[in-house]
Amino acid sequence: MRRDGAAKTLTMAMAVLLALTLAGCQHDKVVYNDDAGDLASAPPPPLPAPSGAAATPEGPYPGVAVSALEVTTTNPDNGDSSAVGRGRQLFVALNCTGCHGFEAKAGLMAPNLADGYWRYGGSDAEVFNSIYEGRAKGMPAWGVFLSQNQIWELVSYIRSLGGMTGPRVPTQVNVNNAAAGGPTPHNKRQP
Amino acid sequence: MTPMLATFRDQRLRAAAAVCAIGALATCTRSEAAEVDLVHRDRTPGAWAIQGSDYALTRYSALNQITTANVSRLKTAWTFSTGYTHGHEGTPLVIGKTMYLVTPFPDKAYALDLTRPGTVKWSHTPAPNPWAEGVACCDVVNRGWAYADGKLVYNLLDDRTIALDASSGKQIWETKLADVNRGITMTMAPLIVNGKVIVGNSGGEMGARGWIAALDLGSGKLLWRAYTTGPDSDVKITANTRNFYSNDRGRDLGATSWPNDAWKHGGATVWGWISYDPELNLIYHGTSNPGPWNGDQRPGDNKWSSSVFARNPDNGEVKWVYQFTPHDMWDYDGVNENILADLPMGGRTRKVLMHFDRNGYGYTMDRATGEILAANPFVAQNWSRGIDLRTGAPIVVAEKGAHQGTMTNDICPSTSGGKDEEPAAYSPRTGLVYIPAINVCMNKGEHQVQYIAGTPYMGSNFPAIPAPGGFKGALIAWDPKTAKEVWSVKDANYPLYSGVLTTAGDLVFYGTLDGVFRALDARTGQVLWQQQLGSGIIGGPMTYVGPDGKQYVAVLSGVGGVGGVYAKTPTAPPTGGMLYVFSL
Repeated sequence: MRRDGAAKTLTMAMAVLLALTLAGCQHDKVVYNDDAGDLASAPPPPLPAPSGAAATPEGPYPGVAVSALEVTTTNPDNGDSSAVGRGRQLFVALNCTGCHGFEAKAGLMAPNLADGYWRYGGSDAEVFNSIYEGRAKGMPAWGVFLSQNQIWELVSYIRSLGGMTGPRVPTQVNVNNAAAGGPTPHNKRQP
Repeated sequence: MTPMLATFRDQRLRAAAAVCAIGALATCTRSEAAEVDLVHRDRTPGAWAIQGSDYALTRYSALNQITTANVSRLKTAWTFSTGYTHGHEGTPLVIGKTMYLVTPFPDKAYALDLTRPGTVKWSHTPAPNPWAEGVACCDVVNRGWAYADGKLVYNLLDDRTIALDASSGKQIWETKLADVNRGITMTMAPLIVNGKVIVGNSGGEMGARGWIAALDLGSGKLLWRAYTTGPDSDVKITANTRNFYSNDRGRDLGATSWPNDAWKHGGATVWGWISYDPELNLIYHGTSNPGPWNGDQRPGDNKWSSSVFARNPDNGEVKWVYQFTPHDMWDYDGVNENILADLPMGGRTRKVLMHFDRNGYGYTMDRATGEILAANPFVAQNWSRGIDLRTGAPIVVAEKGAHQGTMTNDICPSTSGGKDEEPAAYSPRTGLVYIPAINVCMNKGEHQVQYIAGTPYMGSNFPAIPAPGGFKGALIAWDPKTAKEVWSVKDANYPLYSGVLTTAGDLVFYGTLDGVFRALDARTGQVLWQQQLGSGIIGGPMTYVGPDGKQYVAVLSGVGGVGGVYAKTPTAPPTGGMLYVFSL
């Protein structure tokens, strides 16, 4: 994983967000008040970090981490049943249960992870990337502060629920000549 | 209308209540600028200008064209698709010849032309931050919108309050109040009093810290903000605060009843309803569950979560506060509406508030002092053995506590509460409150959590189980003087998540999660009329007089919210927002 790349992306994303926020203020004749006060500026208490993790970032929303994982990559922990238990511990410790449900079979805020329906793909690499990069509607970009090993443990736990698929073979599409600006390969997509 | 609201003391209110008789609409021309009287509600009965019908939140209408004798002839007059499929919780407003609706996220506003039913006069599409969708705990609902002084005012999910010109839909101001990246959203219905827009936050499941704030109606400027946890100076508890019970007296309880700094992420958000008594010049609002849900991480009373506040709307100062559920371990938010009325009790007239809490108790309280006059369960509950009226404290059953590392079985009510935010109605004609109730129990076990901004701060597993009685929902007619049920209409398969309307035609209107819209006889509970709508009902019904002089009844259908979880059965109708308007 490109740690420094992720950090750079984080800075860029923040700049983009700031620009968007400011742009949002520039409605004609709209009085814009920002009185978030101490509510917004109070620092969160420190996260007792899981082993090997970096400090908790604020708002790890999608776009702040970009995975470079090849889509055919398989979980190095496959076959290691102890990884499932470690993944379950992380799933609870990182508040995943609050959205996905205590048994990861859907909660009020996020989808079932056991039902075989995958909006962003259900292979090892695709689930890894969803955890690493975050997804729209609330999935944080955990790649900002979890290690690859920890994310693979989460993938191991999710696979144990029975809904994941095998690796999807990437289709080589050559529309309008990729070299001349055609579709970017799956594993190089931008935030 | 309640007798206590019969006189004005406040000159400003008298000025604001420049009455234009809706129904005699000829006199209301320019931009339908008529102000609707929210105190003397029967002076402008044809309009519906506030979510709860009046400041007292009675959801009562003096209209009586539709009665127990003719309601069986009620038919769909017109419909309007909102275009959105999330939960539709609000109540349409009608001022003059215009109806106002706001959808769930992205919080689009519609003004509908009642002279050409079903047609759009204007619409306004704001652009709330999409990330807000991901941090709203319980669907991306909008609980209601407000009208005053020619402005339509409401909250966006991404923590902005906006004011639109009600005649054109053009935005006049917006005020950002918080940051969605910290798990804070806004879903409640603003209340407008004394030229101030009173709003509060959501995020009790995300480690937010609760607050209520007042904005200037003309400019959107933040006038004051009071927190619901932390030191007295933040909460606006002052030397003038007089709490009725000793459990609620003491310095800085909003901080000292928590371990360390836990109050900084202690929930107690203000996502429910606000009522207003113009004579006492007090607003009444509840607060949510404490955070995290896991109570073992926050020993203490955790004030002021699961509480009711009486505040001065002009500066936020607390007159009194009472905690319904100290150290809540069951998600028993205290945000449900406080309905105001003057009732004969104990040989004299008492100014009361009536509150039907998630914890399963119906409270009748003196709203001037915070004294509990009567409190009894309105649904099955077993977490307590009653409310001690000397101390105000619930008598908690220790074995029904929820704790870390163990599962406590058979706790009633469930985290949905004996009643959720869906508002009840009070008829001064029958003297009864009509409660949309939830009869569900749960098992509950807790685990350690840490605060991570923008993620749930809960630490709880809480599967629902059936409750005693063999039914899940009930519309309960309740005598607030004795705090006793008079009759109820039970629904076997679904809890009730619909608001209630009651009218001078002695009717009670409400809907079910499987989309049945129903009219009851307000005195007997007999079902006089019902119709299947396209989706489940979690909105609040209302009634108005159209430009043709006829009485109409309107309700938003469109299941979602927490109720939507119960409606995911193979036979329940699907989601989808649709306004239904009925007439004879």
